[in-house]
Amino acid sequence: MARVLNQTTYNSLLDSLYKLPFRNRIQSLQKLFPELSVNTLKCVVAQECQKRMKGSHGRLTTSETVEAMYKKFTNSILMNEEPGILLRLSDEVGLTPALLARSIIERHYQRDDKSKPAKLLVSTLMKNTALIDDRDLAFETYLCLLEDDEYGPIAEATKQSKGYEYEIYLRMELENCKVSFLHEDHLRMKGYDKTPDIKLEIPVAIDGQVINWIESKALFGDEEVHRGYLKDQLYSYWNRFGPGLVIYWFGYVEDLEKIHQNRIILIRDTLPTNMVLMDQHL
Amino acid sequence: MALILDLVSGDIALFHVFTWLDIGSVHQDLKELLKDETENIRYSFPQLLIAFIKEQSSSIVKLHNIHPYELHTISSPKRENVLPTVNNLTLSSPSPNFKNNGSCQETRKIRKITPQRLDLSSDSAFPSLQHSTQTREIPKKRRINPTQLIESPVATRVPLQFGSCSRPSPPALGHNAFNQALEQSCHKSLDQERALLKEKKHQITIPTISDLGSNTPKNWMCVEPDINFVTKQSQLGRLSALFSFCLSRNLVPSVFSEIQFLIQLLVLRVSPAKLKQTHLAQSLLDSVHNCVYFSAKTLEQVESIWCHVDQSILQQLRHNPRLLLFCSEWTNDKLPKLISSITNVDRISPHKTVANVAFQTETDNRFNFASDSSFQVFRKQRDQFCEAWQIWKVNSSIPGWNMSIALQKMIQSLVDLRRDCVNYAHLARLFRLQLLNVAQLVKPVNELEEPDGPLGQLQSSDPDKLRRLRDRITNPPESRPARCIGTENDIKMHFEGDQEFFRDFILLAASPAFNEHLKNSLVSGIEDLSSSEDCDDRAQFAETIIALQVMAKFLGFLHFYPHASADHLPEHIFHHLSRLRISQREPIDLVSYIKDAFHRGRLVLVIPWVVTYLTLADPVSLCLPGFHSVLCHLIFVYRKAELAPANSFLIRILLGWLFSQSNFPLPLLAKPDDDLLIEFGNLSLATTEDQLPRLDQSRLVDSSLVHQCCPFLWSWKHLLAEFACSDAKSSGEKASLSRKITPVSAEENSSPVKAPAVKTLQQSLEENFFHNQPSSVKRTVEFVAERLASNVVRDVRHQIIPRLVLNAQATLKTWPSTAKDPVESLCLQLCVDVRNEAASAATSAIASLESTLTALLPNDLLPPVRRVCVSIASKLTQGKVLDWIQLHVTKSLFKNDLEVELAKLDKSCARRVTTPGCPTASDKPQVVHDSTTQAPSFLIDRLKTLIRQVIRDASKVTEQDLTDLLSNSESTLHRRVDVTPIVSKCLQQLTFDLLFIVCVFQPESVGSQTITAWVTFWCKTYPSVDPAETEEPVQPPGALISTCVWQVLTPKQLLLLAQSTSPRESWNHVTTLLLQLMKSGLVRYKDVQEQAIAVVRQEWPQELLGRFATCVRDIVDWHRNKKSDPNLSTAESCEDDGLLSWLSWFCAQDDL
Repeated sequence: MARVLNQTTYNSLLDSLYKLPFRNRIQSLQKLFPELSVNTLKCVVAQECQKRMKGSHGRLTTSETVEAMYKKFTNSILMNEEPGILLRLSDEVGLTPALLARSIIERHYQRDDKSKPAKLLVSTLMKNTALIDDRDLAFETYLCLLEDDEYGPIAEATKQSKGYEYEIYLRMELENCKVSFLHEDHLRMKGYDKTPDIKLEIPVAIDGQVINWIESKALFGDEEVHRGYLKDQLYSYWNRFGPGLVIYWFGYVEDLEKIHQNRIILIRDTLPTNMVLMDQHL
Repeated sequence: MALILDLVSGDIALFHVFTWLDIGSVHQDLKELLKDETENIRYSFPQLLIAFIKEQSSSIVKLHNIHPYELHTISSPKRENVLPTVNNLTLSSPSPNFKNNGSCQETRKIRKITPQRLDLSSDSAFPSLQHSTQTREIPKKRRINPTQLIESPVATRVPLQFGSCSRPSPPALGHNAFNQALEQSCHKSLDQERALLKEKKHQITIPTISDLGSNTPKNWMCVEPDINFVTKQSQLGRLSALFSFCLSRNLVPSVFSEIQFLIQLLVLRVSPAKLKQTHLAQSLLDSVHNCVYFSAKTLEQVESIWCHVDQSILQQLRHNPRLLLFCSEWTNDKLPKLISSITNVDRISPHKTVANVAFQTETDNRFNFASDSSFQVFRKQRDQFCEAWQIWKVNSSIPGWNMSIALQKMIQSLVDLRRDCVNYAHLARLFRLQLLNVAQLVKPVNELEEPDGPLGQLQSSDPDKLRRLRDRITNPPESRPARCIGTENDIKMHFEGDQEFFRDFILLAASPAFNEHLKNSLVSGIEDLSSSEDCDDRAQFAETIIALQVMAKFLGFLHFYPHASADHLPEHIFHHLSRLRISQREPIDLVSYIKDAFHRGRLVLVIPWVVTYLTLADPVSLCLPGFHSVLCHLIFVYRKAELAPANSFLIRILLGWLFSQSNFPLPLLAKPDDDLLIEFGNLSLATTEDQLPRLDQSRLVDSSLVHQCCPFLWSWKHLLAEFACSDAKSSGEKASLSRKITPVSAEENSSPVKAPAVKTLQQSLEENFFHNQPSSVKRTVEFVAERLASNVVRDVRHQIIPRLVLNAQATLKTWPSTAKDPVESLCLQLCVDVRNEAASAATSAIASLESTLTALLPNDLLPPVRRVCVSIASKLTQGKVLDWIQLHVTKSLFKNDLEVELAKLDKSCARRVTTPGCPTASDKPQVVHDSTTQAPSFLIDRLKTLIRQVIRDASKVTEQDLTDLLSNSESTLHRRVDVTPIVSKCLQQLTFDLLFIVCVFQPESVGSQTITAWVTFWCKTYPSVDPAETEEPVQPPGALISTCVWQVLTPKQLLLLAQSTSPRESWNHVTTLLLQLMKSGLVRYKDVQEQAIAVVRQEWPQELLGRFATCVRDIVDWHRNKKSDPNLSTAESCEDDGLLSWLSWFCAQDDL
């Protein structure tokens, strides 16, 4: 199953994605692009969704719109509508279910001066919906969280977990290959100012290129994502440790490496098996 | 002058002159000639000789085709230093106003005239055979316009006919019959000469690509030298012998300039027409033939120079047609041998990219900064600096790109991002290290090889045109980024290639604070490397020497830039300025460096950077008293220093280069040795016990290093190549080196201020002990102690301190809140603890000394000596560790950590966040990762999907499913290391949700066994929090009861229960679940009370309330039984106030 996409495939993938309704897009895409890995599709969909939300979240959650949505919600409760009220509302307004639920909770718990409640309170309620005093809002919120793969505490935990799983997996693989390295925690303890996931204590070569560090990313590397990481992390690592490797476990768009110009940062979707280690016998 | 003429035309044995010049003893014959002024003349003799030669040749050299427009095109002083051409430097006046005269060369094609064979090649309609090259002096800003070139001064379209007067008049021929005879006797046989000519002709008629030189100007002709026309051969021979003696013995001030001059004579081109027009004064060197003869003979004799220059220059010499004619033996026999004996080592690996400055924990981590904010800011500065460098590298060659527009803002903001000495110092260090990395990779611009193809051909036919084309592509005149700042000052012209970035960075940053720190950094870098011991192999040595040169260059730039002027300073201003600066201090004490290097035999390392530094000096500086001594020292070194041949060549070429600079005060050069000696002070003062290896006699310098240090030497080749461009490649295969150099900056002096202790007896004993042992013993002991101490310190920093701080942070949590200043007293305690542990760490480290030193010290040391070494090393180690501790282990070291922790505690108290203990990787380091278990993210996904399906689609979940999930959850949470706290918490919530929902919606799938098993699992995985911590939770707004996961009787759960299709079973299960949770201590009686109250605040169907009442009654019953059973009475001290019983009764009322 392919994880590395050329620009053309990626563009047509995005085109199809934009045309699909918000729910169950992965299944539809799987039929359109049977050759692509499901995880890659999931990632692309998730990233598209995040991009969309980044663009429209502010617009969709002004106090006026939230007030209108809240009214609609309470109205539907009074009308004794079928459960799934918020989910339907979510489809209608274009906010993901969890983000919508969060806005409604914020409105529900608004202070006397109509200001938003403490963030901590809201996130506690999102994590444990049983604590919400309004039974309908609690249940509706719970349904939203179950339905949302991008936002909300469960989705966040999944994402964080994936990232860490792959980091640990990478460490294990490196240990199997007898590569000696320091990982993030070590580096932080030693007072490094920038800490890649893996800093190779003895460099290795991949496809003829020596690398000194590895960064693991459990997502799909498109240009925007990659540029973001270059700016915040990868170039900093390059500045300090020289050439390195970034692994996008769920694939990437081909030719991203050309962005780096002469700064060598390899991009792969897995830990290459053909690493060349330094000769250590005398 | 007369003296020289007498010498040359007289018959005094030259041997006597040589002896006189060498050691000052005067032979009788010479005495008559010199009269009484032997000593005075002796030191100025070489300069007299040079002046004589120049005078003799001046009239003919003037005729060397000077192009009319040259006079307008001298605006760029840029590479003037690097590539002098025929007309500048040695021939021009030292006045700065004149130094660019004729810096431009003709680009006309040259048709040679061989007097006897004029007709063979003189047809002007015949296509040209050869292109002349142009030197690099064409100013950058001028487009090369071919039409201008047609304005050749030599109007020679008129075909020359055989016998026409175009042949140079050989006036000397008739004058001295004796000479003529001599000359003729020297003739080679005609056949031999013919053969040579044939060979030469063959060479030059190799057709070159004429279309590439499409700006074909008119042809014109020049006199071709012929050995048959050389006059006064014996006098020329004597002159040549004298000159070459002075050259070989470094008696002339600048060997470089003189060789340059000789090559200029060799390639002299004079048009016959011009020659005819001009009346030449009678002199020794009044014809092309004589000049070439003199030059060839002298060049041949200075063999000692040729063995140190690049192969490609020798190749040029070897194939030079005039040398082939005039010294065929040398070019055919000796030169090839010499060439094959020189091996060029390519020290730069071909694909080396510029490495960035590596992050080193020792110098770059948090410990090297005074505060967190300083550290964080420098992280940004580092990245921005790298970014600026990267942007420059990518864009600097793009036309129209302007560094000051693109980078000024960025550079200024990054340099002054934090006006703090620590940040400036770190930035200066980063700047210096990056500069050094870059400097190691610089290849001279003209050394790039073009691949085959039209450009490659152009390279062989007209290398200079190629260079100009390339320049025009990369640096269009209007967009030279380097020229963007300020006025054009000579001082800025010393930087080429990547160094321009660093120069302009300094200029754009315009930060006096940064400059000051950079100066310090450079001075300390020079200090470190000058006393470097690692000069054993050539590569290492070359690195060091280049690094020193580049640091000196930037130091010179920083120091002299404020004094630079593009104008020629009128005398009164000059004097005014020098008065102002009369007591100015140099940033670096050159005299002591030179003296020290002289005594320690390390001149070869020190002179190159000293010269580089001085080359940047402004004219005023060099006349200041402070410099007088420096220059005298250098002249003394130039005359007297004894070094291995290659080393000597290097430093003398460099010094000569310095002496020939236009602002060098020439009178100093004529000073007698004795005067210089006074400056030098006591010569014998030297040879104290010094540890540093002597370098001057080692074979460390090779020709590629010579050329790297003296790029101006390439101008020899350019002159030759320009002349014989037919098959000369402009670029040699110059080797250069690339190796990342990471000079270690001086370890900060970590010892606290100590009272100036009187030297104890023990100390003197120790001193003497080392004095009488091989120097390696002391070095080894000091090195081992240094490393050992550093390891102990590292241990203290990374292991002991973090561990103790962690403990202290834990202690802080249980610290009685009544204590006054917990942080203060804990810090004190920490200091004591750290010191104790560090001391014991040092002790255990010392245990390994014995074996380490045994392996490292000379093995013939007596055991007692070795024992002393061990004891000294352990003393040193302990001392260093102690010093470090006293300096660094202070209360303030811990204060920050503890205060942050305290703040955290306060915060969490304020928020009343009760975080149940979560298993994390760090909590259970003993876990061996089992990758066969389900990944946490997978498990989360599965649970989520199941819950959704049960609620929405009423999918069936079997008891087996639940059991499997339980075991999967168990193994994921207990046998994996990649479970983060957040994930663990999420799994807790989801597993509880799932069980509850299945109990509600599919009670038939759940047995009480299952419930017990799950509760046991939760109990084990998420042990309940200490009740003391959750005491008195303050209710946040919105009536939040408790953040606990185990919510059974909240409104949401009741809503779910209301949807149950078999409410009785569902309620039974839920009651069981709640009871189990209470039994295991996960839920307290009080929690149930709170939950129940929240429920009755809302309205519910009566049936549901009835079931709720039953459930609550069961709880109350269980609670009562538990209280009455003393065995079960646990820590739960909650009093039953009867509230729940009442609630239960209340809810059970039908008429509610």
